[in-house]
Amino acid sequence: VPTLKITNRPAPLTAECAQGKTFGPYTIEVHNPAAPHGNGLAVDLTGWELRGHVRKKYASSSIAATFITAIRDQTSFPGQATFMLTAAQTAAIPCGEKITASASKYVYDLELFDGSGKVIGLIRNPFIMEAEATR
Amino acid sequence: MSVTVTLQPKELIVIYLSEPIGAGVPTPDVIDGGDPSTTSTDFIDGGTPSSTITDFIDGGTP
Repeated sequence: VPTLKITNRPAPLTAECAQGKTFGPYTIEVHNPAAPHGNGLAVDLTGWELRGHVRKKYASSSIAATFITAIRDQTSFPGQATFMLTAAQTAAIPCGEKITASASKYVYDLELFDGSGKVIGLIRNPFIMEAEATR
Repeated sequence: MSVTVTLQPKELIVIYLSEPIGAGVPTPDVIDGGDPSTTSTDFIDGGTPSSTITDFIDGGTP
């Protein structure tokens, strides 16, 4: 018998980021569920905002970086939002010599929220930093 | 609300929600006398549903 579950967890998507390089901007496109539960079309994100942080651990009180986000024009790019870190932001995130080093391991997530207080987790996972030679 | 993610070419991150959100999301049309939109779930009505509607009992032309 399969295990049933309900969840509001964000979907896993690992991020790898080179220190001192611009990360993104990456585009998220949010769709409503396909039929019969929805129309499958891109969501009109008017009234919604995107936010996300990078932290050493989920429980860390300090923020390693805050994503710069934007909701794109919903007429031309329905359902789309972008997130990025500047080169200066990624340069300021400490990391180890190798990506496998614990110093290079962070976590992140991104979520949508609206003025009514509704929050929808989108993606999360490890955020792996790689050291740079050119700086 | 759960989400499913896919990674498309050019690193476009496409996310499908488990529940509809956003402006313009139609209200499920359970009992009415109007013409539902192509995105409505129209169970009982007196209108003319489109071919994309799940139309169980009505007085229209499915």
